[in-house]
Amino acid sequence: MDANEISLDVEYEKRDENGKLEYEGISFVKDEFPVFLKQTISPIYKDEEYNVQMKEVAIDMTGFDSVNLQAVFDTMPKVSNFRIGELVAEKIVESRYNAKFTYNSDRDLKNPNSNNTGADLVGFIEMEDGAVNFLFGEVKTSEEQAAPPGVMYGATGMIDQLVELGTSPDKLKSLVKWIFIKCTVDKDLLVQKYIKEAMQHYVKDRSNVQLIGVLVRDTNPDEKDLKNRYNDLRKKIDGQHNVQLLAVYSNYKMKNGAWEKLI
Amino acid sequence: MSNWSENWIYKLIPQEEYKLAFDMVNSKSISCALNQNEEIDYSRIEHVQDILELTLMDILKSEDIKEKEVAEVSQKIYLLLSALPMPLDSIDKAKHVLNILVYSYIGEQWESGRRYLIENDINILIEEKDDWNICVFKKISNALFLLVKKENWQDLTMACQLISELREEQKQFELEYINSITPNNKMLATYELISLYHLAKIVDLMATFMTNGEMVDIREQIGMHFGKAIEAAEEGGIVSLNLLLIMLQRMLQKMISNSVWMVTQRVNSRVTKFVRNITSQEKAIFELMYPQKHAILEEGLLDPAHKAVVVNMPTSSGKTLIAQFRILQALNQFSEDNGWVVYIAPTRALVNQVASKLKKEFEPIGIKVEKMSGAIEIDSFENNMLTDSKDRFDVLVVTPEKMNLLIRDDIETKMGRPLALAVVDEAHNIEEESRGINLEILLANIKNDCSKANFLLLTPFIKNSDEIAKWLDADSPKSISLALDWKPNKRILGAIYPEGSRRNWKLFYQTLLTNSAEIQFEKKMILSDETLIDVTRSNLNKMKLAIASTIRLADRKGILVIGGHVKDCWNIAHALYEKLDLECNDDDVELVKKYVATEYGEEFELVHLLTKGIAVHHSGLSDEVRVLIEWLMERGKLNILVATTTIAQGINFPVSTIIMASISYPYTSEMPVRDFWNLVGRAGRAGQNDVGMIGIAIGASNDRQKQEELTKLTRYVKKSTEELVSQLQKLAENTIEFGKQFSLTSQFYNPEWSQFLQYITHMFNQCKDLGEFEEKTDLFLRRTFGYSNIEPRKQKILLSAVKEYGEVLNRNKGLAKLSDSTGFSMETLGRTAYKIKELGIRQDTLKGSSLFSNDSQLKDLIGIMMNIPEISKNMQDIAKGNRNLSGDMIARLTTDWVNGTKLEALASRYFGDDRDAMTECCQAIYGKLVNSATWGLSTIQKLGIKEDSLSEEELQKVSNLPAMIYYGVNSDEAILMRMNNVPRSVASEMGVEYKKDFDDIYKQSSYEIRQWIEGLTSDKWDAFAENKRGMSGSDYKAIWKVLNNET
Repeated sequence: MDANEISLDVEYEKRDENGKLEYEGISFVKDEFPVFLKQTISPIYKDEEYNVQMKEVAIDMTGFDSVNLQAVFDTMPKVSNFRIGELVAEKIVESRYNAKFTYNSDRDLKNPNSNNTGADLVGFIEMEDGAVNFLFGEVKTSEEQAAPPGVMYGATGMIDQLVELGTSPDKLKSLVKWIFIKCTVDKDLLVQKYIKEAMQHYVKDRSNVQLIGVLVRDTNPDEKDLKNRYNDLRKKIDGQHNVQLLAVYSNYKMKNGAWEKLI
Repeated sequence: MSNWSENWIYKLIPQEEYKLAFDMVNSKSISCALNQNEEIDYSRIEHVQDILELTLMDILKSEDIKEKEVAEVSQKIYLLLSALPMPLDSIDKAKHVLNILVYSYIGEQWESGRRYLIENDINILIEEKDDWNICVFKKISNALFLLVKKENWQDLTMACQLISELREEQKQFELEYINSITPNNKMLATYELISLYHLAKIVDLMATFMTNGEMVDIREQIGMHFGKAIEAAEEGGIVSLNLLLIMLQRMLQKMISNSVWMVTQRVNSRVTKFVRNITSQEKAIFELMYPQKHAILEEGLLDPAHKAVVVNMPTSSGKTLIAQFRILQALNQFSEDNGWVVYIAPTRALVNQVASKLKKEFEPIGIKVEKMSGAIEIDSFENNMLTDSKDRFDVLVVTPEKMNLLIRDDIETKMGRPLALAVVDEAHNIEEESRGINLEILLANIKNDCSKANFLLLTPFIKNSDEIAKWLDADSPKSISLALDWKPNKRILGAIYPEGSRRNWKLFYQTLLTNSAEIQFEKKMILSDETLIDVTRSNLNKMKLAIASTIRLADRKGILVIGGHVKDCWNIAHALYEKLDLECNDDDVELVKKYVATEYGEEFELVHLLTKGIAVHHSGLSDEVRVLIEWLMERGKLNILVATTTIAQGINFPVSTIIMASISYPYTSEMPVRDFWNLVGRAGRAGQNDVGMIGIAIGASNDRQKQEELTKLTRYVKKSTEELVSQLQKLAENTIEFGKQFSLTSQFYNPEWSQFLQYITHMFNQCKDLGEFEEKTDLFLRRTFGYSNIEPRKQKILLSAVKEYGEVLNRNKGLAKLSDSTGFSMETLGRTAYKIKELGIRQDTLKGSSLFSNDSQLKDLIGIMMNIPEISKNMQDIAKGNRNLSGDMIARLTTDWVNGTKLEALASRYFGDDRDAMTECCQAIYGKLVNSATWGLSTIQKLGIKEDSLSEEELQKVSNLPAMIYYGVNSDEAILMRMNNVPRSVASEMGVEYKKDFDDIYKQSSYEIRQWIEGLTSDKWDAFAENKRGMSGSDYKAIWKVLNNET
């Protein structure tokens, strides 16, 4: 199932005085989410062979010991809800907002324990006026009942991370360079066109960067998930970039490993 | 700027934004230099830096990467990055510094990055709270810093040590760290560690390679690890680590290219030994700077196909090392024939410096280096050096004048070994007014006489270097210039002038645009808004302006102030001493102060100046004291050094600031542009002040004058250096007039023509008869650099004049031969021989040291010398001083000098009691007597002594008499000590001691003598120092070590 073929219901949305989308909540039509996981997300997982790659980057020849690291690879579950959430977010953003992710985006770009954190979503977006900008985003997945859920708060929460993305020049610069390098190897002409255009906009004005936060939920749609959080975000970003939030309601519970089983 | 300025990313923002950013950086540099604060909006610099980084990435994407473009953009990024404030967070700091290093390497300016590292004393603190991954990153960063810094091999060992420590610590900390990470992020954390471990291994490999150069596949090895590290960083999504790794890979690949070990892969075992030696010495060299790498590895300096190579590169680009590699290659190429190398340096001081450096670095690998005095005569020790078949030197360091004498004396035959290579340092001196012809003729002579000789000419930039290479080797000439704009340091150049009226004036500094490596930025800044010295504006001459601005800038330790004349130097230094409250508590300064007090007297002004770390450097000081002052300045021990423009020729050390009260040579016109830049190039050094500052005082007693002088100076500093023009060409064009008789015999009184006449004479002597000479005349003339550029009609006139001169030579064959061996023209010799006869000077007078007793005929000899055209000017200048010395007095001065009378006594006896007396005394002795009287005496000896009537021992003694004048001592053993840089005041005592230890003092090599001096006990040194007020034995030993360039 291609993401374009999914039927999604808009549960709520908020636009500014110019009609520009600020946030929206959408939900899968009942029973479509499992099909989507099976047909669209699962094949991506099949490509991910962590262990094989681990062997490729074998560290034995560095003089360091590889036992502990190998153990991580051996014991890591292959599938996790947060990872599924990220892939879902990516596919939906791509189809719904004319976004494009250039690389084989099967990896998280973020490592909270390192000092070098990146972003969950790195790509391009075609704006409503047709202009192409860089798109960077954060994804959170939650089965918590509270609205908004805890993943929206705190230093590792969505809003703070988006704010950091938008206000730390180093981070944005690194991401732009990174995507620029990635695009070098991408022969897709559309990508080449996008990078050129996005770069032009970025260089001329840093605010020409789209930031997006995606919340993936298995609860009932509730505008409270995003409303105040959006206001908080907007205040902190203070017009430096375009920001927008999206909540995706799966309409399919994740408890007892229900999502993972479908992969 | 080349094609990259057309890059699409670069063109996305307007030019003004770039200009603004660089202006801000420059402005900041200048404010820093002037100790002024300036608020800067760093985000504008960062923005431009970001765009340039993206531009660079785009350039690197190309399939056909232009390295020059990569380097140019990187240099710009480096400039911007290094102007940014240091981040506070330690990880950010590490990344920032690594980035700076990366761009310094890619920009072919690694030494600037290294300097940044050292100046900022970068070391990333590892804290207890740091997680394992942070700890690993920090330690690797520190190891990388050591890898760049590598002052000696210990730094490299330390870098490896840090990596080993990490391997140990892994056992303790890794598991705990991994367990602390949430399951969602575990995998990513693991990738991060994998990536870092590979980087650690890379640093380990690099440090090992830089230490011993043994890994031939180092590129592949680090390439493999980088591949893994980058892959893991990507898997872990660690964007900034990923980017850093990509750039570090480029940086370390450059480091491999720069490595001195790369040279060993191309040539021979001598080079390998040499590299092993320079990488293991205390101040080690592991990497070549860009100009060196470019010349040696990219431009084929060591390709034996090129017989003549001209390397034209800016000051401080490390030309000596370039020469060293070429020397090794030449020695190797000619090892079967026992070939030797001559290194020709322009001044006595430089001969000493170069010889010491070469000795230090070549002797450990079994290459023997010797130097000869600047005297134009060959003493017995030097003669032994040439003829001793047991103990042969490989490299000889001499002045051009001495080498010319050796060549004319048929040195190759004498030694029975071919000259393999002639290295000519500061070869642009060919255009120098008085000595240029000598150098040009020397090269023509070598070309003619030494059929196997190769040439290496080292010069600052000259436009027509191709032409010069072609002159020396028509078949395969090679001239090497920099392909990149390479700046050894940042400099600003500006004018200093006052504005205001009466006693109410302010001092301004206005930067000027130049064609050279200076910061290109126009800005007028206030240097001081208070009146720094109590003088009215209309009385502010350049000298006073220099004083005022030096007072203002006195915080910048290591200021060089240039005065016009010796007197100005004293006055400036005196004024600064009075005005400034400087402190100087330093053992080295104290040592020099003691030495000066002993030699010149306690009351000598320099002694007082040194208490505040102020010194002077000019012709009014002895050679020794000048060396000591240079040594102090070089080591950053002096606050201020005041010198005359002549320092431009010999200065070999960097200074923080140059304040110029004059850009004219004494008694002549404006400084040649090339000399000016040579001097200015010394501003800027590793120290607290990154930016070298040059301030030129302009006459500005009123606003109109200021404007005029400012316009003049602006024009002067924009002048580009012109083509190198032969002095012979100039001389011929100026002297020969159409329609007028031109005869060479009437030119002998002119010292410049005299040198040309000698060339002709030398060529004549090599022909079997006049017929051959006439046949070859045209060829002989074409061997000079200048002849072919002379206007054709004048060429013809010169040609026929030379032929006519050949006939004269043919009639006086005996004198022609003698002319060759003395360096005086045939005419001079004829006249001198007549004089000797007329005055009844007998052989006995000329052969014993009784010549230097009070009632000897030395006065007659001095009288003769005063009429020898080649040296008469110098001899008469001695006479012209304050006291109007007669020939008789000069003879007595010479006698006293040889017999060891101290300078203080000589000055008061012959020149008066004031400060100027000492100046005149030193100028007379070191500037004139030691060269001219030595040369004159040895020639008179040749005319007045029948060599075959003397025993070998007698001949030896005879040939050392002139050297006694040269060194100012009265025994052969003392000469030997002086040749090895022993101070004159203890040379005699030491010589006596030496003679006790060795029967035949004439057979010792300089290495053995040095060993002997090194081995002297402190008791012995104390004995030498007895009765030398103030100086102890160990003080003398310390001074000797400095003079011998061993510190």
